[in-house]
Amino acid sequence: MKRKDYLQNPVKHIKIKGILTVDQLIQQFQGSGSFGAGRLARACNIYEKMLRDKDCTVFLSLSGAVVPAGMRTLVTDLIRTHFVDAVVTTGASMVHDAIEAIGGHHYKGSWTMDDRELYKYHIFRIYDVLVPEEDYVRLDYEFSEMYGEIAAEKKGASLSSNEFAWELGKRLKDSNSILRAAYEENVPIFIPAVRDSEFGYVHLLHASQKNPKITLHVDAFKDVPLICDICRESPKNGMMVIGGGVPRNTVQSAVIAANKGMDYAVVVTMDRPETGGLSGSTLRETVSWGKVKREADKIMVIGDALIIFPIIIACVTERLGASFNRMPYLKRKHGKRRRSE
Amino acid sequence: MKDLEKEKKFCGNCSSHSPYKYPTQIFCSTRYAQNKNPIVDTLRSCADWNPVAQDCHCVRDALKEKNGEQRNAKVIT
Repeated sequence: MKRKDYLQNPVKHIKIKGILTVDQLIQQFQGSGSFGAGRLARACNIYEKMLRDKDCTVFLSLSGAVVPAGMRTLVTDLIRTHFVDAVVTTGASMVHDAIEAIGGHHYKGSWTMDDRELYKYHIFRIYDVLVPEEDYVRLDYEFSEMYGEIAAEKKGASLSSNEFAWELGKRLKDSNSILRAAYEENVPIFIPAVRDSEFGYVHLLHASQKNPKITLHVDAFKDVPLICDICRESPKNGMMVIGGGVPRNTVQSAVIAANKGMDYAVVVTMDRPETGGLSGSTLRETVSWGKVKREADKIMVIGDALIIFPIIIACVTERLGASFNRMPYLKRKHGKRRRSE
Repeated sequence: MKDLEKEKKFCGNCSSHSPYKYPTQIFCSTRYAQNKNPIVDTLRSCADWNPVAQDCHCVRDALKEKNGEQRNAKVIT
């Protein structure tokens, strides 16, 4: 490159005059194009492009405690409006969803609270969010019964984590539940590390019963061909990643197992790349594995997902307008077939 | 003395208790495993009582609640 090529795009200074919509603010960020503002603006552009691309299947990779912190309904709405086509999540996120679905709550607290006192009152702390232990206990009890019901219905056959999630969703009545929405909308929801959450301890309780007729079997290996098929069948794949960890790796591994790479990628994280951990690995690093295409539209936004992600959704929703009606590629291809067919 | 010891052997200070409705009811995983109703009173005691391993306010608050109810009952009568 020549010297003048580096100096093509002057920074446009952010101007806040009067009332701005979310999209208008993001346009100002785009004009700046710098630091987090520039990255956030680019993330909005990429997600908009993903949704407008009729050939793209959009994966949502969900980790971290964003569900108890207030993003539960947002995720549910993304599922119901077909703004995501498949979800890969930690078990913990779905446990928090289920806790609220059966009547529990998460409460505002403070990271400075006396943890010894909280312990004595049986209250758990997730940074500045509080959960009473009894909500977990109620979940253990109700879900243990549910596990028994599912196991009896399936006659001991093992379920993929996706089938397991749908079976739970089928039994939850709360329309704001992520699990319920995924079940109703026929959106695959994979929980690859399903036992690494309260779901695992519910199983312990369920299996502890005297002479259980039959115990529930969940086999996460069964998810592998399912998620790989989704990537293979989709002409293009995109991922919206909150955090990283097992869910991000699951999506990325599936796309490479399908002999493809991601065409679009947005990662919102606060993790760093220097440790070699996946959650902080840059998308350039991901290109080296072939998991994201070199020419893919991709951006990593460094920031609190609870701030960044709702802004992206609000901006893109505004841009697309109320009349935008997205029909996912795989639903167009296969129709809205039910899981049992 | 024996009565006092017996009184202290509340389910709510058993090592494996979990609150079901704080502070008055707890979930007993031992009873659940035996296919018995797992929801018991915090101030109940049973033969399987384990020594205290959990330093919590369950029993204290359950006793307060019980005493409060008794006081209220007296006021009403």
